[in-house]
Amino acid sequence: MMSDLHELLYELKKREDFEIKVNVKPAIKLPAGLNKKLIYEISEAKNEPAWMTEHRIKSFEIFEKWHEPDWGVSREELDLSKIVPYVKPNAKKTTTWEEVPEEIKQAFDKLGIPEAERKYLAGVGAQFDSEMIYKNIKEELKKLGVIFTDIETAVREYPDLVKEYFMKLVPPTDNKYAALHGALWSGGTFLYVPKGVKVPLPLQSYFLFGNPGGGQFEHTVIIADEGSEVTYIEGCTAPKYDVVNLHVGTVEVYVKKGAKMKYLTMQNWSKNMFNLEIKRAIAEDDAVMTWVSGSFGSYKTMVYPATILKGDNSVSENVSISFAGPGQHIDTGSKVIHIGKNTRSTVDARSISIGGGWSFYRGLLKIMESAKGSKASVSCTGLMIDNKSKSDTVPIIEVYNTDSDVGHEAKIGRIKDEQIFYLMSRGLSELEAKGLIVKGFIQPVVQELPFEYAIELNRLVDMEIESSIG
Amino acid sequence: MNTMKIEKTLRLEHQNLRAIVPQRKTIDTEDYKVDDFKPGGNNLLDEWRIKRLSEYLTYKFPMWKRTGLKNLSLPNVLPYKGLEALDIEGLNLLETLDFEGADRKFVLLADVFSSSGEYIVVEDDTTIVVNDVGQIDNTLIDVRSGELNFVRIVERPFFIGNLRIKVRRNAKLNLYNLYLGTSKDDLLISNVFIDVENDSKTMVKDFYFGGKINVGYVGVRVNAENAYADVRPYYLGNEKTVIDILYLMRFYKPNSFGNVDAKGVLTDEAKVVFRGIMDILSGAKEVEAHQSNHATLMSLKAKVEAIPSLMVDENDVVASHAASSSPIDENMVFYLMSRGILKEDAQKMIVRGVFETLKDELKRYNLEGVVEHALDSVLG
Repeated sequence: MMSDLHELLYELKKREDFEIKVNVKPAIKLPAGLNKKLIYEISEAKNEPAWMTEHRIKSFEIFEKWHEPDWGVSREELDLSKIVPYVKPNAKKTTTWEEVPEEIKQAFDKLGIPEAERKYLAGVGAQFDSEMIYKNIKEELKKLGVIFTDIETAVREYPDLVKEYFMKLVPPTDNKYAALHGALWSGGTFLYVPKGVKVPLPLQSYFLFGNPGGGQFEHTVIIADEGSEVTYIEGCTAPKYDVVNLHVGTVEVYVKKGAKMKYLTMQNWSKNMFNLEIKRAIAEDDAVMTWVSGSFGSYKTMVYPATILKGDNSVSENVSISFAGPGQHIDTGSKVIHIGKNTRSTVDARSISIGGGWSFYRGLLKIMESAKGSKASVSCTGLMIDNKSKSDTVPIIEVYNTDSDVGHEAKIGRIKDEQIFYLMSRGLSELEAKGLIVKGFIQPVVQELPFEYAIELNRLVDMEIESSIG
Repeated sequence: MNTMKIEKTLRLEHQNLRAIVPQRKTIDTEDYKVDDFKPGGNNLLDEWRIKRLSEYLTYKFPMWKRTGLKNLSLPNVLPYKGLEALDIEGLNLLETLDFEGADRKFVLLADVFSSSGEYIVVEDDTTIVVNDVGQIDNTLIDVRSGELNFVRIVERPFFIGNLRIKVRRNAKLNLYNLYLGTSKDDLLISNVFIDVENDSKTMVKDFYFGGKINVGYVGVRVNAENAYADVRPYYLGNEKTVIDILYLMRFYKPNSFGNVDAKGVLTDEAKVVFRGIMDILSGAKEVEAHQSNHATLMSLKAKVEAIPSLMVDENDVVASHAASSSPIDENMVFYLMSRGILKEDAQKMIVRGVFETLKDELKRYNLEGVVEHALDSVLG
């Protein structure tokens, strides 16, 4: 039987007809615009220590100097001066679901957060607008020293850890949007898994957006200490508004010696969203970093999960599926930088373009001189359901040593008539046949997901196909 | 006058969506001025050249990070030579073959300031070998019928050139560009634009060796049905040579075939930048387009950068690309050693094998020695 989570995700994917409705009055909603006064107000509202306020101000100064990145999706419609940077929900942070205000709870209940937590998650976080309003973790993991909290709490309770890792992998000087994020960040997850601890079930955070014209700038820091193992899932959704919303989340993952980290993202923002994310991991000796990404929503997306294979024998896996439907421009990809010896990486990027959508794969694979004995393979596959859509792949491969094997291949094509004919001869409708083939196409991503999510992803695909060509 | 749009190198739009075109970075350097314009004596052509000059003056020279082009020293302008023989028909053709190339500035430079070149009309099977290109060259070829074998040897310390070719219905083109560096300071910027018609067949083979900076652009516009285009770039890089090559094929109509298959060998501190673009527009059904690049690396400091792009707006196509780089295959070396060949000789044999097809084809022009000589100078 399908859980509430699945029911809601199913509803969400019906977009216009089935958008979730959120009607929550915020406790604080700062005016649109970007200036130092506003940044001080955010810092004050969060009761932050001086070093963090200073970090924000410095980031803002960098932001003002940086030029717009001269690549990626056109951002002409994105007027940063009209984005509301901080909306504090009318709710205190809690670890008890019952204490969450009723109207917010209703929205998250629909997302199945409590249900999912009971059934198959080791811990759950829920962010509404700019703040985490709920965070809980199983007691036995707490006893093992696992820290799973919102980043504001971490700033107060674990300042040394935060200072060591916060915006060190993605510094504000990285690009204009990293600087913007450094100035405006709010909410997000801080996860620390101690040495040798293997978290048996995934941890999850869910991000819900409830204000028109708002920006969400959550920050996630994950440290998988030596020999640990952990899986983290993030889900994103929002109701659709008539004005542009902005999401500039940043994720920093530190995978220490021998640790294994799997980071799963299911992105289903509404179609008024500019989704400009920065995701970066650094892997030490023998560490394994896996990114699994599904990009379904948003108006325009730019996200390229990156792994720096610093340690010898470290491994990066990157599996992604992006779905560009009518009006969507989904610019995604991957970056892998091999520094350590005998490092390995694989990229399996798949995209589906349908109903006029534009899917663009942009990747970077860099093998440094020091990365002797490395192996890397990049595979990009684009499935074009119709000839109104567009599918592009632009991988950049840089090899700076002779003792490495590097391979790349890409294919773009359509569903063949004989495939559809065969399935229709077995009693499927054309729509069902196309849906089945697409589901086969995305199988490498589906198999990385927990069972319940895999079922849901298949349902999403059915619905996308139906709404785009049905 | 039959005017067509400029064939842009990158097409980054789809319906009402747009991607940002990377900003063109420029260098400040001494440039040609209006006074440097030298009339060619053909009023039709000079009028066209003055229009090009007007556009030329609006651009600065590009700065190319990957190529290492950070400054530029232009030679004195020589008396005009190039397309003086152009008639109205030729001018109309020239107008239809406008393109952006590796950079618009260099295309315009060669159009205005060339000191060598020719306007060639081919009606029957013809073989032409050119080995006296000037420092700035502008050549236009109209292959109206028959088969043209055109071999161009460019061996100059400074070369900026345009080669435009129209391959008409049922015509055939075999083009060989042999770019041979002469010193460690050479600069070569070659733009080749080929427009093919229905049922035509085009084969291109490029060979890059030596010099300092080699920039090559080959654009094939397949605004045609049942056309066949096969492009094979070869590169042999040694010392500090940089070879930055861009191969574009753009398909507008159904049922054509295109292939770009690049391969090469790098030693010392040589670097290759391979850029491939297979661009298939909506409506170009049943097009088959493939692209690949394989680099064999013989030195720890050799570098490969590959950007093999596919841009597809039509779903009823077969489009693929592949890129790889690796050291010399140890299994192949082992096999040869097991037959009594010394390791070093086995490696050389494998490297020579990469260029074997090209050498064989050049035999009919008695030019196989060009490749052999380059290999000897690298492998000893």
